[in-house]
Amino acid sequence: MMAIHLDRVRKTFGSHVAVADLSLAIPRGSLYGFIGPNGAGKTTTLRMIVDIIRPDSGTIEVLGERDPAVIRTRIGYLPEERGMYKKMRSLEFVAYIGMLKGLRPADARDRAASIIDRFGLGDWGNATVDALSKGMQQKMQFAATIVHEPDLLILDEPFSGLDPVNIEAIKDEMLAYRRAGRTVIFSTHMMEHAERLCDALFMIHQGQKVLDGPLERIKSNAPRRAVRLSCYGDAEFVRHLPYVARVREYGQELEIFLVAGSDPQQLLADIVGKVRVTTFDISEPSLYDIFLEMAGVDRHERIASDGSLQVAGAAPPLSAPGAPMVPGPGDTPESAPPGSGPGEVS
Amino acid sequence: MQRVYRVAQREYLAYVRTRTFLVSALALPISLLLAVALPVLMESMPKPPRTFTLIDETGRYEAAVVAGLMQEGAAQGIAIDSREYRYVSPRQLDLPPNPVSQRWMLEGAVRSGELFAFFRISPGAKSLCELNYFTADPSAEGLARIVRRVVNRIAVREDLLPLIHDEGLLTRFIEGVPLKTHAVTETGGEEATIAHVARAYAPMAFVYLLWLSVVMMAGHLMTSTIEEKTSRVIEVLLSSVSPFEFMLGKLIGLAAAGMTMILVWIGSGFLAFTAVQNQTMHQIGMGIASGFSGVTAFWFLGFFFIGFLFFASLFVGIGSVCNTIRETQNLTQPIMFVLVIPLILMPFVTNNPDHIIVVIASFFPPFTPFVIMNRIPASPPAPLWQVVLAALLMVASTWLMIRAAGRVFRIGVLMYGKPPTLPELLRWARQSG
Repeated sequence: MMAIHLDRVRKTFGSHVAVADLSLAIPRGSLYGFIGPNGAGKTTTLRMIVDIIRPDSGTIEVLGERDPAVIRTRIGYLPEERGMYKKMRSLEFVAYIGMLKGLRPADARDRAASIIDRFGLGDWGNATVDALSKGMQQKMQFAATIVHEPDLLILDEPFSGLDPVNIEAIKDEMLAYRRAGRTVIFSTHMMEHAERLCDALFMIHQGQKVLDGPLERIKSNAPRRAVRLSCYGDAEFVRHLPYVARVREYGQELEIFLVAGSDPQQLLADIVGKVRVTTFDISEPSLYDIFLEMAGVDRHERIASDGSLQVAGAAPPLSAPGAPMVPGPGDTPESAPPGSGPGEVS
Repeated sequence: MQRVYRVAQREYLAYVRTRTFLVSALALPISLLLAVALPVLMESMPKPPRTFTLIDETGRYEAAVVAGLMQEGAAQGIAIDSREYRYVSPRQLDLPPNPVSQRWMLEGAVRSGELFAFFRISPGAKSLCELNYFTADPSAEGLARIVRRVVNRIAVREDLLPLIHDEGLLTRFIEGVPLKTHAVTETGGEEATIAHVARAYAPMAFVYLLWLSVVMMAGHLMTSTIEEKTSRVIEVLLSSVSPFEFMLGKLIGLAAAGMTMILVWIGSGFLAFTAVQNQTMHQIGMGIASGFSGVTAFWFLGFFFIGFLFFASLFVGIGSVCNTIRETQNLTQPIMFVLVIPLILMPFVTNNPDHIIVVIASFFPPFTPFVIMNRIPASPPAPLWQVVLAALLMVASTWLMIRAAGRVFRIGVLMYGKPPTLPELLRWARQSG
């Protein structure tokens, strides 16, 4: 069962293509991360899912429905730019959103009060919004997002501007939602949040999907191009090897980044005999590395929708077992058959 | 529909609780109260009586004229426009016998304020006599009119009685032909009172109320839309209701608030007119009330509501594409210009309710509510078919306006930066969404 199914969705603003023929399927019950640099199209995609803006073409199905009016009451949406009525009492605001989501007035008020209590803001319900601190406002806004217990929670940059304590509180809520079998989607540009929270993620860059699928598959399929090396002897020569992009030094340890398409085994072969190796660790790339690589470092690379990396014109990385054979340079997602990805994610 | 109601409810309460609403709602009743109370207050404040004297150079009329003035109450003071005018005999003033120095001295007394005015009866060349009025304040004509009436009566009688010998005939002569004005109404001919005047102008007052509330609401509507936009609360709202539902709720809530204000005004007006023990005010109140039958009231409320929605949807559309009130000015100017026209036309409409231009203006949607409200109770009243046609046109054009505003709203409310130009706006309004 899919919580969200986008099929060749396209949105342009003037001549700017915000989202280009995006197909995406998000299974129910997942905690799904949208990552990408600023301006990549994350917010536009989320806004189209909650029907704040409409796509130019393509179809969007949310919780099995095509008609946005039907599913609005089942979605909770936290926009990136937080906003509340400044002169409204905060409890009233939370209850008001609950009513707009279809709760009866008395229910809305009760639930708003209990959520505000749970967030430790029970004393602030009668204060007007502008009397609240920024952190409190953010929590109130989150309370308004979940007051109607939505089946689908969509959070655009939920952690921005929050202190660590509140970040934990929001994370707990998100995890509780997932445990209850509901779907949570959130966008972030902070990789560590995505890396620690998500079951699966979707990466977008310049309006195009570069990656989506379960987190472990993305990580295991990513090229292992970082090597941690500890050794005795002068390893300076490593810097000058043709396939080494850069070297980061940590006292007793070196982190060596290889250029795209090169094989860590080659490095091992080249250093054996010159220095005495104590550790040679082909580490799993962090999401941050993958992100950087996808987002800008090397734009000739794309990841297919099944999560496997496809490197144009280069040998497949041996350290990525299960990666398909290298397709031709033209076989990037732009020319890949649309809709090939979504169903294969779960 | 329930969501529209929730939005309307919030908008209504949010507006009704603002200070602006309170001030606007109270401003009219308070000024009305002042208008009623001030003359009463002024009447109750004692003012020194004004004195005047009269010199008869002909020597023929003085005694009779003074007696006539005494009949008018000149000894205690003749009350005119809440002032008292008291006659002082010239003998009390110790005047010199020479007419030239007499006049010189009296003018000095007027100049110094000792006397308010003096009259001089001199022989006339072609008339019986001539009445000269000397005063520092020639605009105070009330006294001169009374004195002239008395002198006229005496002089005509003095000169004609020897010829006519018939006192009754002579009196009728002097009084002249009486004029009585009758207002022809549904219930028959009645003598015209201020109530009839009030009745004729009541619709005009109602139209001014509509105009006032539209103009006052416009500012609030644009400010609140801009606030929702800049505070970004709009995104939360739009994930819960469709832009069209949201806008509709906003319009209905504000139209209800506008009507609340009107009802506060009408209610306080009613209280003022009935509570005050002032004959004139009471008559004006009755006159206004008699102008509104149930059917008229129905049309008025209907046209008020729909006319309000028509303009409100225009303003909400403008508010949605702007980020500051200053930006709205370019776009509101043409609307304000259109709004001023029916206001200027108003007296013309009241006086020529069946003029061809007025009939045509009844069917031009931006003018319809203003014009037709004036024509319904006018004489001749607007034919029913015209009222119904105007109502249908108004409902249809308001619906189109709300839809167009909804399309603009949907795009504009999520747009930040430079507001669109008029052609761009029109393109959005035509796009289907």
